[in-house]
Amino acid sequence: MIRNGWRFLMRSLGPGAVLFGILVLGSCSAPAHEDQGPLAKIEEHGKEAKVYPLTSEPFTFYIKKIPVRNAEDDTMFYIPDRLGQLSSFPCSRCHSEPLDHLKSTDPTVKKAHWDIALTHATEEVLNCKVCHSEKDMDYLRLNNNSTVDFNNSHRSCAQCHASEYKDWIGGAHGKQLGAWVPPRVSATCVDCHNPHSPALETRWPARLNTIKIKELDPK
Amino acid sequence: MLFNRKNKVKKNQKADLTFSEEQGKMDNRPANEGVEQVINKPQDRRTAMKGLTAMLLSGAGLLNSSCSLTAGEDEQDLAQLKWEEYFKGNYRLMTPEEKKETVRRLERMYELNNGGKINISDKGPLKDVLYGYAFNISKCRGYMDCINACIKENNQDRNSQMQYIRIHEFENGRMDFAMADDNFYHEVPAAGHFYIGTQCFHCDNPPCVDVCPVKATWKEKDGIVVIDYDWCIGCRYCEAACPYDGRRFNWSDPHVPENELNKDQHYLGNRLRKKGVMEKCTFCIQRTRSGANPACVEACPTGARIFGNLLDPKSSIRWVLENKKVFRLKEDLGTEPKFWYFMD
Repeated sequence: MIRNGWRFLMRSLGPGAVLFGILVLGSCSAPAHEDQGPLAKIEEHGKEAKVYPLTSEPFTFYIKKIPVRNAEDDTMFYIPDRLGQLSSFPCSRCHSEPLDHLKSTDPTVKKAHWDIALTHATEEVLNCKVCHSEKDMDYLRLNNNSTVDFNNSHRSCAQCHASEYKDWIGGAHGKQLGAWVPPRVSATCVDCHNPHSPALETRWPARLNTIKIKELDPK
Repeated sequence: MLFNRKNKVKKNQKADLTFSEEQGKMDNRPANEGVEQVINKPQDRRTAMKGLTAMLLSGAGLLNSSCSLTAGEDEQDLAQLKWEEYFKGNYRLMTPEEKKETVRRLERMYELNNGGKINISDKGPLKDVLYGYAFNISKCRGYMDCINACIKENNQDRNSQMQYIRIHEFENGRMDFAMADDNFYHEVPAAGHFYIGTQCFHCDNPPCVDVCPVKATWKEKDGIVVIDYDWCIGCRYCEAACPYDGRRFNWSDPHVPENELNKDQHYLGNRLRKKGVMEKCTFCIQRTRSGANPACVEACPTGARIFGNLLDPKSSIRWVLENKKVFRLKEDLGTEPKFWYFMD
């Protein structure tokens, strides 16, 4: 029956027309549009973790890295080492006795930390002892009076700046260093913010816009 | 032995008859000898061109040597390379071997013209990678370091102040691009203002690609919209079609000082352009395809720029898309940019 039908079709319409019909039908059933946007592509790709043939190592080899664990999904990323960058460390070299003993009464002598001006929150909220451990000056202090080393200063910052911390852990806050491929290396809080004066300063732009340059220098 | 060889030739001729884009993949022709070389030589456009070149060169060479005594081998070499470059195909249709050849020609031409060595890559897209970009408008402070880095990385014309990135200054509370100040001349950030950077958004549905009459621009598998600078005819349709002011035109021969030239180049990226072709941001294809961040991300001192693989659920860009309020520009156009903005 089917074969008869086929023969009838061939005879009456000719093979060309049949072929044309098949082509038209075929093009109708093809997927409508390939470019449905990145979100559709993400959806389509699913949640499987990606394995790369590359790593960020060649682009971050010059950074001494400290691991940070993201407790939320138990992933790791890295931050640059801080202890190696501190110029007068360990603090206990001087701070081996109580502060009162170290304080000089001579006003002509330059104070040891003359270059540090604390412009971070208000005096009511913050003084030296809130972040620096009195017990052991080589460490920072957490709110429960436990200590944390300078490499993990972000844990001290996180106690007040919870939303910034959340963004930082996720990857929305804080500069990603070197490469987009894992393992991720991100700047830590104190790489950009001076902890004693965390607000960023205003400055002149590194360059001007094309049109502005032409305006200023018409030749 | 002879019989075998003939058979091989026949096979090859058959392959030539079914010429297609993929044809070059089976491009392993037998080494013919003697008369066979002339008679049985499978001729496609490329080999024909080479033959023509040889003839032309011998003619030109004869003329040259009769007129001047200084015509060196280098000049002949350069003429040959120029000739072959002139008749090469669209990059997208090239076989891997042809890509390697054109890259080698371009490197050699630079060496003959300028003396130095450059490295041009033809690296293809990584598997399961779709690049995406997020821009934190509460972090950008208008420092413009990104633009400096971009110009240096991408060998942009210094004379015409070519810039792929634009930083717009807005008054707090309104985001109207007509009211934005692109020409701010003061310390940044100005009080009561915020900053938005724009560049090519690498749309998933790019209107610039649709309008190109010669198919010199297209979207790569990893989502990067690229231009074949040697295929572009400079009609600027794409510039008109882009709703985001993402494309730039070379009105004059681009000039890059020799000592500032970035010699790590990509065919579709920062290799030297010429007068009369389009160019634009390529997400620093020469860097990103080997894993590095684009130059603007690396230069940004505030961390406002985030770059990564949209198909990787563990990437920072995905975290931003899933956890922050994000928006794109002119979403209603359906261009599907892969460039999101967000706030803290």
